[in-house]
Amino acid sequence: MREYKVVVLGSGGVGKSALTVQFVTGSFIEKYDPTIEDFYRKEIEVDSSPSVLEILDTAGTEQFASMRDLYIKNGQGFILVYSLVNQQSFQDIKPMRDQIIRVKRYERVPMILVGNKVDLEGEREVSSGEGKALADEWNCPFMETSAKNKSSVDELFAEIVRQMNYAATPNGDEQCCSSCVIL
Amino acid sequence: MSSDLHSHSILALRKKDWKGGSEGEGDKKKAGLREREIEMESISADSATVDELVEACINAFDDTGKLKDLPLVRMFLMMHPWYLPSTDLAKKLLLKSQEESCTAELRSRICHLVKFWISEFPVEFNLNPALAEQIRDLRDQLNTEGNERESQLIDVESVPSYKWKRQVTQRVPSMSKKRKMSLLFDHLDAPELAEHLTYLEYKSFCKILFQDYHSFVRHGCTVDNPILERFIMLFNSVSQWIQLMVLSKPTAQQRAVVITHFVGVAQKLLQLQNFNTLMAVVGGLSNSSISRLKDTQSHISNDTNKIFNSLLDLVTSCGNYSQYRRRFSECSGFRFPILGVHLKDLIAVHVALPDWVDDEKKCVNLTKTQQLYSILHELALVQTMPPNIDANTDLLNLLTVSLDQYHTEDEIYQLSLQREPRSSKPAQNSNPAPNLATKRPSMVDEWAASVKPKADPAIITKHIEKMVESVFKNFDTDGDGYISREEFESIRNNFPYLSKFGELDTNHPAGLLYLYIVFLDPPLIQFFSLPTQIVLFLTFLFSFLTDNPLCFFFFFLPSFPQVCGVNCHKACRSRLAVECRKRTKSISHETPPALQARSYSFPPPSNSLSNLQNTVIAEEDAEALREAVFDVHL
Repeated sequence: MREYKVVVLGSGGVGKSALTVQFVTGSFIEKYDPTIEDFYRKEIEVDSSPSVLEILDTAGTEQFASMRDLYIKNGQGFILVYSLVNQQSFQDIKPMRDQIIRVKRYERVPMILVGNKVDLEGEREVSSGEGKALADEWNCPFMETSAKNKSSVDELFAEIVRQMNYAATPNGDEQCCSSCVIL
Repeated sequence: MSSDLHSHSILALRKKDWKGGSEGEGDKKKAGLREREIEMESISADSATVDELVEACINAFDDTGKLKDLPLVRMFLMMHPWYLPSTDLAKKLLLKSQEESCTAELRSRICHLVKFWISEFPVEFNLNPALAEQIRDLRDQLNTEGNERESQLIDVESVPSYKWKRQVTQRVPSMSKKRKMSLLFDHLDAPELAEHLTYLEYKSFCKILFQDYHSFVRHGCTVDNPILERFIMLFNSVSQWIQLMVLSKPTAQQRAVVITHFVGVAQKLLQLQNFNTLMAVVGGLSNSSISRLKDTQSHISNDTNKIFNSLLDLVTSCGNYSQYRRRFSECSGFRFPILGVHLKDLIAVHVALPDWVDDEKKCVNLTKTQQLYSILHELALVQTMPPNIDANTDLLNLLTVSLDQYHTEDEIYQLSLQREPRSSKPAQNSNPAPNLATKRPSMVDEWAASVKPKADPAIITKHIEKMVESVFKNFDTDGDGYISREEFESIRNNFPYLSKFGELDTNHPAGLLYLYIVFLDPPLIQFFSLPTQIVLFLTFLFSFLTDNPLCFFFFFLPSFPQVCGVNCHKACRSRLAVECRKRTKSISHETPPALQARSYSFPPPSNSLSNLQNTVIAEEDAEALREAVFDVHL
């Protein structure tokens, strides 16, 4: 079974942990221990091939700048999360992509841009169009999710697996997965 | 969480094994802070109301003060601010003791609980005057009712001061033979540097209290949290400083020597069980600004690389930091956790589990409380076990200022590009990395800036004052108030960012360094929003003055905080020379003079203002600074 290392990035309070926890635990769990080794590992089947995801949730370590390059080096796929009810978090996401590319030293690093908290539509500060435009500029998929309503969370992690698969296949760049983009 | 859990919230006030885990949990590998399961005897439920918890804590004592269930009482007393303000808890206890049905025995238990609370968490009483006041009320009330015996248990007056509590125990230097130690970082051996870094970081760590973690977890980042911010800033500074120490060396071979040196420092840090600084050092050395230096890497021995890779494996994020967690849990005595990892755990618990199990917010989610507590309790324990380190104050002073630097990731990366430019050949099978620095210079900076803690100018000033003391004490060997060019050259290596100003012109005839720093009251320095600004002035002064053995003044004007500058008036030159001589005398002591002795007089504001208007230096731009000075003086 292929293993994938995914890093979830974004500024504080955008819901990185909520997305990650939602994905790894599926639903609410009573016994929950984020300090155990396999807590952030989960098997999923993507396009009928089973794979194991190991997710690094960076919530809580955002300000420790000197830890960033280390986990970016370890990661294979990156989920860049902003909160669509917080314009600043959308601005914060741009330098994170730059740093990933600087560390990885190539442009086409598998990544997805994610606007979280779509459940708070009424307080939206970042339009879908803005998110989509940035994703187009980066040439990566774009999704809007809600960790709270469990909306598009599993799809998000499935999509990052696809992105990592494309990156691994020669000429994978040609295959676009726009069908998976949820607007 | 299902709502019927509420009905499970019974307190089994009897001996019963309390295990935090459910079936199946044992299958999972546990490591790190959660290793030690907290066992509570008197409560066996996933939730309980605050009143039930208070009840259980009171009943955990017998009327002689014997405590039956330490884990429960400790957990509740530490964690209660998560659910109710301490003053509310005190009020509950006060009211309970006033109830008519309150027996003497119960009252006695309440007093023992309060006594225990004060003795275990004295800081809370020191920081929260309202709480202390309430406790005094309780005592007064007991006294009026003739319960002196109980009232004597409650002594909030003997709570040590908060300052004391937040200070690291100072080791008495005379306890061991005072070592003669080089103050030059280049000459310091790895263990000494590791120990001093440990001392500084641990000292900063010990100031972090429950309330700081609580605030961090609630906000998801630092908001009005200067102590935690300072700690994180120091952590990041260590990494940046190491990168600059490496990049300040002009040749690949020299840079390799510095890297090898810091791998030695990292090894020693592991030996000291200081994982936090180890992470900062490894993080610095593996930063892309260093790892991209192919020429430099080729000069590093295989052995060093092997050691470095093993350290890298130890702090890797792979497996949820399992290597680190395992190693850390095996340590005894002084051990210093990678705080970032445990902050991450705290946030993960907080986000995943609700504080209350019911919508009415009546029932505390004890599963969550217990999980948070086990992490926070371990962190608190670390603060009670200081390292056995004999630190040299002067070295600490120099190190502190050198670490106070703040640079953007981009500045450092630029320096790296200057040292070893990108090869023109793009790497195979990958597009060449975009030149981020030139394309969008501010991007990475913005990220950095968005999380950049604000340094307290007063603290920075204090650091610089102390450093100046130490510099004069140790480098002005003949005590004439001057630092010779040779002396300056040697100490210059302690401040790697000086390379920003290019190499000093070594052909210039050696002159004496006249360094005058005017420190006025701390408010005057408020306009230095960045530590860099202040030190940039200083370092500029250092580098500039060695080339130009003239007298300069460093201005902070009270009424014009936006105006600051390095100035030397042509007209004042002769006067300044006189001033210099005066100064010379007052600092020509064998022992370092008091700081006030350096509060030099400087030209009257009326005279200097017009000139100073031209030397406004708002940005920390070295070139602008240099030019501004030239403008005025040449």
